[in-house]
Amino acid sequence: MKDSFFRSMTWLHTWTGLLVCWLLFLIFFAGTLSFFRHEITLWSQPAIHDVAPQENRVLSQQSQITSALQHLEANAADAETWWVGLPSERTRAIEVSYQDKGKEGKRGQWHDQFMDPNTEETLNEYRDSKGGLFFYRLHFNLHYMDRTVARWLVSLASLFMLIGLISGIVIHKRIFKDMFQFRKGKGVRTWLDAHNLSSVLALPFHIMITYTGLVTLIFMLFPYPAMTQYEEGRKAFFADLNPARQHADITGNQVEMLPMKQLVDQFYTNWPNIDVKRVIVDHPSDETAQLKFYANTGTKVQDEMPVWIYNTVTGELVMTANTELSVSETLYDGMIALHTGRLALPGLRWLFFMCGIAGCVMIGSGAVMWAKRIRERMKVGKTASFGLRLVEGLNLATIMGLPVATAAFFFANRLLPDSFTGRAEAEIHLFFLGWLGVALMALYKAGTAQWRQLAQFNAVLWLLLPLCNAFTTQGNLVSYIVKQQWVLAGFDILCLITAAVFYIQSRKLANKDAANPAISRTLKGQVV
Amino acid sequence: MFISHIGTWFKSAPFLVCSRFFAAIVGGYVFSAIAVSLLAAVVPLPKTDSVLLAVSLSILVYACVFIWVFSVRKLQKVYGLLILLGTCQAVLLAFIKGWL
Repeated sequence: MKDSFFRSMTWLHTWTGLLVCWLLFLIFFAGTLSFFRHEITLWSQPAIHDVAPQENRVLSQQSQITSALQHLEANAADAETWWVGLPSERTRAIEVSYQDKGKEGKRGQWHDQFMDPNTEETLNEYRDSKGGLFFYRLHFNLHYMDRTVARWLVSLASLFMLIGLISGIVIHKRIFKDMFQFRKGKGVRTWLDAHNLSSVLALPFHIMITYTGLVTLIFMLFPYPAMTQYEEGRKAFFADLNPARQHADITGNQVEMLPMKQLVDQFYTNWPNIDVKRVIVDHPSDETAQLKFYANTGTKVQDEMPVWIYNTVTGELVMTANTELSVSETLYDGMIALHTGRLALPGLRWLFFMCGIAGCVMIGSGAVMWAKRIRERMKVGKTASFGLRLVEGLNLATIMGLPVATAAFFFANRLLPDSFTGRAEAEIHLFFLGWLGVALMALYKAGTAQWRQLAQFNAVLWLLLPLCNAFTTQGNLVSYIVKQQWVLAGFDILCLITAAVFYIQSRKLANKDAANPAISRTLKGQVV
Repeated sequence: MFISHIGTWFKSAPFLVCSRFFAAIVGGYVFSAIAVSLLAAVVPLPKTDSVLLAVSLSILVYACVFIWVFSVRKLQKVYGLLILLGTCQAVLLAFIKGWL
């Protein structure tokens, strides 16, 4: 009985894993980058590179909010929404955005701008780029497809991941021993060790991130408790949970709002020490207009930000919400906060990032191992089946293709002219074009030679990226270090490390080719 | 001839595998949906809290059922227990909510 349980779990682990490993790799890859999404966004906006960090961040917020709202009052009176994001520990400039009124059921266009937090003047050069937000969205919305379908696909892959993790633990006989075991240069054994090592070392992270990831989409996946508890359905539940989320539709009846300065001053008279994260005005000058202040939750285990809502005509405080959480809310919010890593200070954030990379290694090595095993068992001289070749092609396309695509995205950010229309979209198209190029090559042939060539190509791309940055912006790695701009310096250093890793990989693959000319000949000649 | 053909097809490995995956993915999903809805109905907490608690645990329930489906040898037992327990819980939920 025990033996059959063990066997069924091994089977389950292999097949659930193989079925979704490429999608999972994409999700993990994009998710790992998303831990640094604000940093990537900073890199992708050269205009704010030299904005000096503030000394009294919270103290200067009152005047910053006033300036930003006055700027919107003067320039976007007819907008649907005003949106002001204040600098935090990880974002540097004030983000000042507004959204046009929607037409014919379509949502209005957003217009974004930056404001210098020190001088409170608008910076003109805003680069039309999604930056880190692209990877964040890619992580759960994928791209070029319907959002809901994408989220169900991502959820299914995550569920399989969770099943893979649980069955993986079950089939694992010596969990502790594997933590210290890596047998080098032993073919499939080595891949198994890499798979075990990356899984076991970061196991708590893998389980946490997969579980909480599913929880982020839980009201799409399991709306039933909300639907059965509330007769009017999910919407009634959300209204009950967070009254601040509700707001009336625009009516078109114009009213005279109080001056923004007066409203902001009023907020600060009552709540002088709040670290504000963002300020939003819904429907300015409409009778449904509301001014909302959101507080920064900082390192607190809380996802929904505390909010204060003001009536813009009377100046009365309509509502405060999310200032105290119940136990269940803390459990739920805590899971979401853990997943997004919003509360993580730099040390923990790097640990999350490393664990994310371990996740990518785990998924990648598992997929490669499957193909290696089948190939090892194959009789000499027999041609590989379509299934095996497909898996090998997809492995190469995903594992080596995503770094190429990411580099393409970053190069596009630096090289596309600012005046280019649809610039942000073009960057994303280039990401997928880069990936498509690698995928076509991989599906045509996926032998050691192709792995080596792509490793070399990646090494060159990632080495050139800091150089390209130095030629197209004011700064470079040396100036970043001198000026102590650690985020930008870190970006360049990570690029160089990535290039080095790919270079080492290409050398290893070359040695393998040279050591085994006979095998590589058969690989080239027959099976691949 | 034709009947026996279908009979062997029902016993073939691809069908059994697909059937088991169906039991795990769809059966497990429906079962978990009922179970967590019942949980939300019975825990003595305010409504929003009971819903949040139930959804937070839903993936745990789903994953356990999923693994269980693959660990039981007999497929009939899997379907039987899923349907039986699922129905019991649904009836209980309907009774608590006063739908019956």
